[in-house]
Amino acid sequence: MTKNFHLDIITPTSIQSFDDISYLRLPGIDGLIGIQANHSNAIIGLNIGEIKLTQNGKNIFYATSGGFADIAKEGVQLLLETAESSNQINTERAEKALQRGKDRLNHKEGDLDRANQAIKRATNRLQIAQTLSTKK
Amino acid sequence: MANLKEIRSRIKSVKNIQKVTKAMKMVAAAKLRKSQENMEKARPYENRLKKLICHLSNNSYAQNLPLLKTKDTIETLGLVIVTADRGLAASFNTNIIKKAEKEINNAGKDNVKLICIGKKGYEYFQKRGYNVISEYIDFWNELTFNTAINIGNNIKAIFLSNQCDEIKVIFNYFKNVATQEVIFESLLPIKPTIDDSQNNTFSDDILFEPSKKEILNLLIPKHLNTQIWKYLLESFASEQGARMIAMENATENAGDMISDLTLEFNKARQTAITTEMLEIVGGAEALSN
Repeated sequence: MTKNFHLDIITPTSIQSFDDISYLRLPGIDGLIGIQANHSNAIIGLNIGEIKLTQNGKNIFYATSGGFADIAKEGVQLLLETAESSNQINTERAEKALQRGKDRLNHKEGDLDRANQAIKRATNRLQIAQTLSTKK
Repeated sequence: MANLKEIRSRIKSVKNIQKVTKAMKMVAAAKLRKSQENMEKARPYENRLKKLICHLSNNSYAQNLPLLKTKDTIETLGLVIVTADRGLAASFNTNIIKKAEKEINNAGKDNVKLICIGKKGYEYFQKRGYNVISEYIDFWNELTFNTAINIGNNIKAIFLSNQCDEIKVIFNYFKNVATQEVIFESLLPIKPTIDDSQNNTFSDDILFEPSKKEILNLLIPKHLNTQIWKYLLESFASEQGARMIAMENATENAGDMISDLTLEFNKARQTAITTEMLEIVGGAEALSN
């Protein structure tokens, strides 16, 4: 039994591949989901949140705005609209987006659902960027 | 001699234009390469989403999802028109506008709401008093997936709030560098293409978390966004291709013009010399007599 598995993170603008992943934690729709090697085949819907993957004992964090995980024998494929590793996150942009979303909610203008979603995405990005800086 | 001076200044200005068109061609070629790379990168994601959607939309609950449901009567049509922000790309924009105008006339001007992507189409339809409900301009230079998400969310909202009963799109499909094809296709409600060869790739013992229905619900907006991303990429690549060819032709034409003008210039110069010599010879002969 192998203890590690292969992971592809596929977004519309890039593909990243990782070998020897020992653990993967995903933000499922109903809560966090942990995945290890030899998981049964599954398709999992993902929420806005943090993806944690453990490669050679090191943790790598990604921020995502949702997507799907396709788990098969060959490995795991994550289909994500956006995936930014914690050191790629543009905190300035996220802060601006957060402010914009809050302004919209305060003035009750435009689509409030979308504003709420934008706030969620922005806070998620900021949190993940922060976890990295504190762990360093 | 005035004529000589005129020709000389014309040659100079044509040479300057040639420099500009040459530079524009090179810029377009670089952008084209980049956009082709982007198209290449988008393909795996798109294919996998399509595979999922094919698999899931076969089920009975799929018919009831609002984004998949075909409406009984179609009164208002939403038309997404994808053009460029800039011109100088041969018939790139005009082809789209012509096709759009034809479709609008078919459906009746009052029954069509326009969503204009790109400044050229927006300006054209706005000026002529068409019903433009939203526009996206000045983003082509920094094209990111977020643009597609924004447009997708907006189109989804328009459709779900019953502002339009059907949404169609007109865009330039990138056939190859030299040819673009104007494509008119329906965007919403989504009609999944069922491909048997792809359906078999999923076995039945797959776990769906939370449930097939919820996954499909999540999947459809994402599919819409990728679809729009595809339109944007196709259109952008086509635009650059069209501009590259147009500028190459312009550069060539400028070259032809320069050689014509140079010939004319030399002729005029020689005529001037000949006349001058005749005058001198004539003068000298008159003196010797």
